Amino acid sequence: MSKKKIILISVLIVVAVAGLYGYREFNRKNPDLATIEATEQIHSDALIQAFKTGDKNTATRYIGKVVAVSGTVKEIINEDGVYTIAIGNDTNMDAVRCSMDSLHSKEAATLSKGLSVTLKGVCTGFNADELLGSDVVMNRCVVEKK
Amino acid sequence: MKKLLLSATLLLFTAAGIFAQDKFFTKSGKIFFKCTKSSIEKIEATNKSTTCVLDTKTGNMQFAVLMKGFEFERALMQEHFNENYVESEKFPRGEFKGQITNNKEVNYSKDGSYPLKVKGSLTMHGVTKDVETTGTLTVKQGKLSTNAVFNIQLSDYNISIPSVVSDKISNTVNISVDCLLEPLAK
Repeated sequence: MSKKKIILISVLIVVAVAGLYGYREFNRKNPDLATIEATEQIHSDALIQAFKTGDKNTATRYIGKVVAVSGTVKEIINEDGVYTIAIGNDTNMDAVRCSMDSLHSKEAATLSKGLSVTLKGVCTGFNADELLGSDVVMNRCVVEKK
Repeated sequence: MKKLLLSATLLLFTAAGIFAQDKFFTKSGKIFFKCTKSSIEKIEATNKSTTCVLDTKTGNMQFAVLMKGFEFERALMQEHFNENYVESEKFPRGEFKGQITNNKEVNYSKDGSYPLKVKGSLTMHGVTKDVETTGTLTVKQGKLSTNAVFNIQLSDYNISIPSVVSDKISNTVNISVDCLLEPLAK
């Protein structure tokens, strides 16, 4: 095979691989968290407290990360099949609020108030509110353990 | 004396209950936005964890949303939204503070659907701008649901669209807000 042909084939392979990578990257969906290992495991009270102290490292450690939070179910909100589960304790209005992944609504529907659970989701931040209670907010949550 | 104390305590709790009934809230409100320009590529996202508080007495209303809570269909789009456009690490929250200007026309104690006029300021990406819109408030069995649709311009909030994607992303963002509000005191 001539040198020119080898170079041409190599360039075509590189272009094809780059194109395939670009296509797959462009169409990449957010992964189902049921298949992902949590980078952090923590109790709801400890997570809320960590954010309340205002330590800058807390945001870096948890926000945008897959976190498994254990605690007691204190509220279940079902708005047309869209579930939000609040975990925490009844002595205050603070909670870890988990917006459940719609693919896992059936599991969310099996939860009940007072149940001990571990929910896994992506931490999106902290809302400090004296009137309504402070919340750590999690997205795309799935039930890890109940 | 004990009876007097009991009556006073009951009166206090009742008064607190009545006062609290003025305020309605949710922490699971929905905000949907789209800024699609080309029909090939949908650029839209939903946030299902919006906090909203409405004081029915004054008509004051407030929304707060964590920017990282917006979910896109495509992961790459979501990453670009957070990193390159709204810079959610630097500006983690979006907030609206405003008032229902025709609050007197809403009968919160009677089931029905009422048109709303809302005026306030929207803060996003470190910029605050005045916003005015119309919406609907529905009173049903002690709960309130609100719906409003309005447009904002990305350039007003110092969010620029690179020329490479200017044929796909519109500078005008169409935002729709849906909240089911419950009385603050349960």
